[in-house]
Amino acid sequence: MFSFGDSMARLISQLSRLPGIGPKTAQRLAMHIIQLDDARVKDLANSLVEAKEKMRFCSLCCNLSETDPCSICSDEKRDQSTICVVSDPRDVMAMEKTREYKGLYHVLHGSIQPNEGIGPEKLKIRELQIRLYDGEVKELILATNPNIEGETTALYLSRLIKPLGLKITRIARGLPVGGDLEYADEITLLKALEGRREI
Amino acid sequence: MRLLRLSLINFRNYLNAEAEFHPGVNLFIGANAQGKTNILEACHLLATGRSHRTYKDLEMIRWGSESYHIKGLVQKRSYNELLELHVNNQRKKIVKINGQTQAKVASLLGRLAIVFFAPEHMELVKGDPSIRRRYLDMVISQISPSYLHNLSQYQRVLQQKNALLKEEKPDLALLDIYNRQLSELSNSIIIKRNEIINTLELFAARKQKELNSQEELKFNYSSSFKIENNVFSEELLYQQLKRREKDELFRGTSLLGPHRDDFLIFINEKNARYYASQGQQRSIVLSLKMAEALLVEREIEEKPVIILDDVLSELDRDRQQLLISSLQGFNQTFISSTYLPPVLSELRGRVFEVEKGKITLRNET
Repeated sequence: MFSFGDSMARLISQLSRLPGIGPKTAQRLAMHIIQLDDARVKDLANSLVEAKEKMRFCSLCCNLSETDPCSICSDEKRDQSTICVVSDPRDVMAMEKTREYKGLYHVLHGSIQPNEGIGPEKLKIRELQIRLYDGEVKELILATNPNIEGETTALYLSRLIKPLGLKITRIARGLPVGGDLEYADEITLLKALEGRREI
Repeated sequence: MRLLRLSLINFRNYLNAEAEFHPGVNLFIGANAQGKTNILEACHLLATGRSHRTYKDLEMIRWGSESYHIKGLVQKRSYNELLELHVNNQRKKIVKINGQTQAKVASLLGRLAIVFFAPEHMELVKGDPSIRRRYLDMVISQISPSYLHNLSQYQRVLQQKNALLKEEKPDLALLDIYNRQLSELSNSIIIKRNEIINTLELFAARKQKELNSQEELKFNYSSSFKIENNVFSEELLYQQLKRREKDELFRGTSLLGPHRDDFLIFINEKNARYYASQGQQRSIVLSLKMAEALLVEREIEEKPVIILDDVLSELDRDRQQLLISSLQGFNQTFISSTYLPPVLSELRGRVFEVEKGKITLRNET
């Protein structure tokens, strides 16, 4: 079969192992890369290596960071008495976009799913417990995903941490803001109805 | 509710076919393997987005072409709706309603209500509990989106719990959480199943009386949970799961729950699964299907389209007569048959001949 040569084949195979990249896209990206200026390719390669070298996990909140502790954990202006627990570093980014939440975070790196081999011991739960011992944290906000695995994880954490006597809350679920009621799916609408409140 | 027109392009053995239907009975006559069931299958696809006999969409594309297209015009009480289902050459399913492309195939659900009756439904009486369970779940899912949601959540939690039970040292705190979640979901699933079974029993018993006045038909929900006098709650189900915990840990699988339940059919106080005769079995299925039609009608406040795929031959003359007379003048009906059944000769409707992927109107009465 025809091939552009070993180096090209290796590049394509490396790219196609990335998430969301199929063989066709990998080919297109590889073609694009080899047609770039030398300087830009070096830049790309260096940024891959540099990011890999510098990024680490914050030893407190387990979020991705270049520094340890991360910029959020070391920011003294933030409310040290509240921790928002999320599944994924991307969820921290989403929460930060609100610009309203001023507390700290804790990233679990997944949710409990025994059928994928992810038990509680695989998540950053022990790291969370350690942060709670000194009693400075007063509220824990459970912001795991509103699906069944996220729900299980939230329940598991709340039971584990209840004995410490701090306030534990779960983010609400309901209708997206700015949307039309008629476009909401039945289940979201049903859950919003169940969680209705008096005004 | 009526299906006024249907057009099929590159669907199964149809290159390009179109038919306009009668508001009463529409009979499709033809030898085997000419395409009668394919027409009824297309109706099922428009109603549910799925085929009643296969999961493979590609199988339904006509040999030698790359996509298929089904179009149906549905008349409701106060308006008409054009439903389209299209599998394109990228093998993607596309649904359009009145020409507007929909984000989900599920948007089709509930727009064309049908009650589909095929020979395999005869298994409902004598078959395994799983057959009755699947039937019940399908009937309820069509009329209750929240039931469908609870059911799929239940399956997901159950998979996680089973994976946990198979671990060498399962985390017992986590197991307890799964039992809590499962008892909550089980509770709502069992409540809904009970409610629907009671309604079906009421309607079916009425139909059964019309078929044979002496026989008494009863349906009973039979749960793997111990439920006395129909009294149960989330808490009671949880207690039972808790009590079986050791057993489940030992066997490495879930032993209790709606995924192991059944609904029992009694004829004259005897369990029909073991004691019903051939004839009784047929009457029961017929009553059940007619009860399903009444149930759907009560829920959506329109009469569903009745589809009988080759089932007349399964019934004797009296039962054929009863089925037909109970349909007459109420629901639009589609019937496939290899011959013109004498019971239909006096009905108002259209007879179509189906031969080698061609639908021809033979006569109208």
